[in-house]
Amino acid sequence: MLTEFQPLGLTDVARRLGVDPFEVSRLVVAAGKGLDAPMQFSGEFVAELRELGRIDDPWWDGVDLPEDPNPLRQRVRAALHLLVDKGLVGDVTTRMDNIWRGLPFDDQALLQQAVMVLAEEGALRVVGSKVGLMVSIDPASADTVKALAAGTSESAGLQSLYQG
Amino acid sequence: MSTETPAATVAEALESVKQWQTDAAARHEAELKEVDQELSSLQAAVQNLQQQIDALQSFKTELEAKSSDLGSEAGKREYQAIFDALRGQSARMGERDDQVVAAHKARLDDLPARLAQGDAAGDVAEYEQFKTAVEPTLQHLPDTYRDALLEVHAKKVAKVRKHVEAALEGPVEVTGDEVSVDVVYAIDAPEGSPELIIVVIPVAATVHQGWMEQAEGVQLWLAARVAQALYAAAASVGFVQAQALSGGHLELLAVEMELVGADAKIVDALKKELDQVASSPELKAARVSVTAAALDIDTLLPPEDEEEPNDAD
Repeated sequence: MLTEFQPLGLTDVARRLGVDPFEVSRLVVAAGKGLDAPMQFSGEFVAELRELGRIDDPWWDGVDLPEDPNPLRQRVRAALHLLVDKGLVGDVTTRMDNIWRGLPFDDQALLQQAVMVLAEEGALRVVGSKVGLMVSIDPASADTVKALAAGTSESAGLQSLYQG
Repeated sequence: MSTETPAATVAEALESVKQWQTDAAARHEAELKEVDQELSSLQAAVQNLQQQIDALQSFKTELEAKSSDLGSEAGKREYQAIFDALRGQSARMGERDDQVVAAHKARLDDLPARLAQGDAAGDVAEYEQFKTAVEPTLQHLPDTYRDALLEVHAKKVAKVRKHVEAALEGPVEVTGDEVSVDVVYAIDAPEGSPELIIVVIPVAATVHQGWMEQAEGVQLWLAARVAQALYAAAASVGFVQAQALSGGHLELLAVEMELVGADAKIVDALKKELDQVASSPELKAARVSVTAAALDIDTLLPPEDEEEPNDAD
């Protein structure tokens, strides 16, 4: 009963934030903590990291996946739909791992690869920040991304990704 | 002019010459045999010397080849020695993890007993009484009564939280021998500007990717502190696109960060921050002594004839 009050460890924080421990390390730096500070954290500090790191709650609760015979493309299209629906274009960015937080590991890996593929093709922008990688739709490719989300267009890189 | 007495007859004179010729021929034949034997002997000696020369020449060629390969052989041995040492340290870190997990469990098991003493005892008893006896009845109370109780309870929770935090303050301490480990790193700067840092940490390669399935301990703490050091160095020079990537290399965890575009001051910042890893309280409490060691980039990369991919994730 009392253990709920114990200070949080590194993995407790990583679980609560839905990021891996190295991202916690990065956020701890952004929050101004040095290497001599204990690796024990309070719930309030975790909330501070969440806000600082622009960590969203998982996006996927209640999300309907589009009809698509290919389950990989189905998940990627749904993710692109979310980016479009949230208006994440140009300077309006989101933390990259917000896209896959809460999904099974395989889906997380798929979306991570898909984002990188689309960034290489110029459809998405991935930029570094002191709290992590941020992503948005490149304004010049907004229509392309919408078409990809709708399933009316295909990207060579994504096709290659789906074929493994 | 001969002093010998001339032969009395021509026949004797001719016989004498013939005898001389026979004797001389026999003598020459004997000498020729000796010379032939000497020649054979010398030829055998020359042949023997030639064989020795050939053998020495071959040995010299081998030595020259070995001498020219010494650098690359030393490189291979250096690489092997470094990773053998780090794997040994990693194994000791794994053992220390077990001790940390056991010490952490013992501390939690001891928590109720510690909270049953002093100022904490009354607050904890009331808190537990509320949770077991009062909270289940709250739904049956009028809102005003319920709000009043919850307000009092919130204050009690704050007190209990402070008691628990005080009881568990500070990192888990472990007794036993100190575990000394090296965090080795190399900064690649072929053109003078830093392009990449590679850090090899003496912990199991699975520590980072498998963090959700493993209990937290010194291996993950060390890896996370290294990541913290890299990000702290990057932040200190305004290098916001820094991204630490990790992967396994020879069963150990390797972390890389691209430095292209970073101010050259990041090199000193990285050294300073990696040196600071040793000051991490939880590592000190777990009796893990950390030394950050800068190495040449070539000593951390596999020798050319046995390169293996670094599966950065």
